[in-house]
Amino acid sequence: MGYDMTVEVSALNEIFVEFYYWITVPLMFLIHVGFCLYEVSISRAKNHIHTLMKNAMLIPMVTVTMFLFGFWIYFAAQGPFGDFAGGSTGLPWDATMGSNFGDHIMGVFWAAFLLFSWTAASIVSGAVIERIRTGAFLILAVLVGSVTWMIDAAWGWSAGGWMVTDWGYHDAYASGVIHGICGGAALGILAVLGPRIGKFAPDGTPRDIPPNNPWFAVIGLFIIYTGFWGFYAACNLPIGNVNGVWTATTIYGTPTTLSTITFNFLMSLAGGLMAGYYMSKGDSFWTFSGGLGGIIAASAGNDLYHPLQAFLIAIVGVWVAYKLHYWVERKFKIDDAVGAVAVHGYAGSFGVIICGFMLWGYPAVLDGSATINPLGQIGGAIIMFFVLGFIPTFIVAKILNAMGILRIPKKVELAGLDYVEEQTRAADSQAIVDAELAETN
Amino acid sequence: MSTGIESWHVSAESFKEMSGAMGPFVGTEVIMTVVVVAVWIVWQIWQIKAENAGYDELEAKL
Repeated sequence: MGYDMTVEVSALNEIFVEFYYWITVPLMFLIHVGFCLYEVSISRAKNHIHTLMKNAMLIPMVTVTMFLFGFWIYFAAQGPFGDFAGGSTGLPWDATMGSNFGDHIMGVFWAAFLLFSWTAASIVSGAVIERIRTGAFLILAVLVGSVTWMIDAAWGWSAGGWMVTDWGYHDAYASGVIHGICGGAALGILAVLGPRIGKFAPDGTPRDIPPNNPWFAVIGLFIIYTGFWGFYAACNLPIGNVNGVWTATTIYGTPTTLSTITFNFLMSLAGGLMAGYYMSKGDSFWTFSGGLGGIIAASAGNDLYHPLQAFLIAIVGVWVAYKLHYWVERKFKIDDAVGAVAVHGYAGSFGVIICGFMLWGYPAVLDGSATINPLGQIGGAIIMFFVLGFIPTFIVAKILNAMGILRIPKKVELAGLDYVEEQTRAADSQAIVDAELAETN
Repeated sequence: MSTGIESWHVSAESFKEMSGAMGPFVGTEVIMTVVVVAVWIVWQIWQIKAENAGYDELEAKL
């Protein structure tokens, strides 16, 4: 039997791809660590534990539902609109959805998508802190993390999605398919949930509820930046043959390079930080959020932009997000505690739309049958933010509110969600002091 | 009785044919899915009830 080098190269390629995605998972785990640190630090001391547990418990809820039906939705909803052509791929009893000698990568691929799902739910989590019930949030987390974002990924973040093949939709690093939809979803809940007690004065003037620990809040954002590298890596196919050239590709199978995305990630981060600092006059919360918003604004086209374009787009995106945040807050009395709607929703939607102008005429798919264009991107931004983002969570939040299980009782909100834990901790500490004093005497 | 694979000693030829499930109790995936769906829904209902009871108790104290 002769030595078949193609088999060995093919095996190495497969192992490389498996390992590549596998490494993105722990990197993306850092996004969740960062979100937890960030959210807890923004919340007031009386709500720390509730804030942490609400965000942490979305992990099992979204994970189990992503296994049960979320990943199936991604495959089933691809292709022409309404054509559920995915068959059984992704269903829990499908042969590839488990330990199987015949498939080595599905679990790693699933995990990469799952970590996006956690991020999706976690973006929503920050906006609604200090007044939503954990149970209601977990239902909404499943809706966003395992249903709506999976539909938008199938439609607009796969080579065969109808938004891509029919509209030329392009969103390489998920400005719309993650950030736009989650910003819209957060806004849908906030519109029903209402502001925290004390956020607005009787005349409607917004009051600033400052972060409990600004230092930890920005460390949380730093950690999110780190995790974002894994997010960018997971958006690529690491090696593919594009018309005879070996290269990294986007999720659409169109070529890019690691060099390009590294340039653009860092330049858009720089632009965002500078814009955030300028807009807020050096406020740490908005400066670091600006860094994140800058990356998000440039992400749709960061597979192709020049680094200087990424930098400038980030500046404009953060300016738009900052201005819209305060306009919506004043006009509609929306209390977005962490600026999630702005940083993810407005910057992400802006990023999708500007990409349509910047990359106008570029092939959206490898065979050139659809091209990137402003109308496709504007339509895509509307679908992401409103149709799949705002509307589903608004409806479900209305139902939960009607059932009386959306918002915590007023007395509890005033006393703090950790009231019982704090009382118990104080009593336990006092008991030790009393015992020690008694022994000393 | 075997729940699945009985030996790792396979020839090169048969290893290529080893392309099926690795786990035990192959064929019970649908039943396990039903069980896990039930666990998920029951847990979610329990969590909401427990949380509501906690708020009711706290409100009474405040």
